[in-house]
Amino acid sequence: MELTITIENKEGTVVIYPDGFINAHTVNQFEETLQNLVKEKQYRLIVNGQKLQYISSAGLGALMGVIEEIRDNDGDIHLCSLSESVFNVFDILGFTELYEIFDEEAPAIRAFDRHNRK
Amino acid sequence: MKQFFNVDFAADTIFLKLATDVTISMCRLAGFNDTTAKDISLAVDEAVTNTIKHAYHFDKTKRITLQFTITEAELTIDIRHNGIPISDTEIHLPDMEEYMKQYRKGGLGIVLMTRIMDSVAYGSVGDIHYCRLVMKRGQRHAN
Repeated sequence: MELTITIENKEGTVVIYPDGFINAHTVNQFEETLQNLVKEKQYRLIVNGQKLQYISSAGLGALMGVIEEIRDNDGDIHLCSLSESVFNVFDILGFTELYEIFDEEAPAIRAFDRHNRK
Repeated sequence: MKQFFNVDFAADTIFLKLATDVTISMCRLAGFNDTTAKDISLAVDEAVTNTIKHAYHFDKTKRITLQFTITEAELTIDIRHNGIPISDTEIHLPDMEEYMKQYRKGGLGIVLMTRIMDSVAYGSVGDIHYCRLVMKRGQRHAN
């Protein structure tokens, strides 16, 4: 398999762990995961990229497909533990301005408390 | 001296990873460092994906050829097909500020390609159409 995705609930957030490659061949799996979570009204999502080896624009498009609804419901998508090459894709497109990116998972979870206080 | 390497495969996204793996190997052969090799392979992924989507409308019976040409000055990668041609004049790069404000989706591939490569061009020779990606060799990208 080029991509496997696991999900864990942690402290009121949902952490998505993609393992492998997100490209035009595998993106449907990633997109469905995101869409199903939004359908379940899960609006605090973290994509932990520790095992994500590769992402193309197809993966970024999948994030863009749900972010508006998530933010309209006072939620957000945080990204964490990205490899240099995956971070680079977000950086090339300027998406580092659109998404909060954290070095580790714990601060990515804690950052949602900051949203709570707003 | 010019060195050529060609790969021909069905227009199926299942081959995207193979196409990017071959590109990384060719980039290393041309002396590019790992970071640049990965960036170039991403540009090839985007060009092949666009070909499958827009030139062939996901018809898996069609073929795509990648041709790598290494010269002293540059690496040229042609993504060739005989589907619906795309011309340079049809390419519109989105305004990324507006794009993000409106949470738009799609059209990011061409942005990545143009931001990574030294040049991106589209053309045709007879019934064969191509997207040509060029990266200059040199100290900036070397190991």
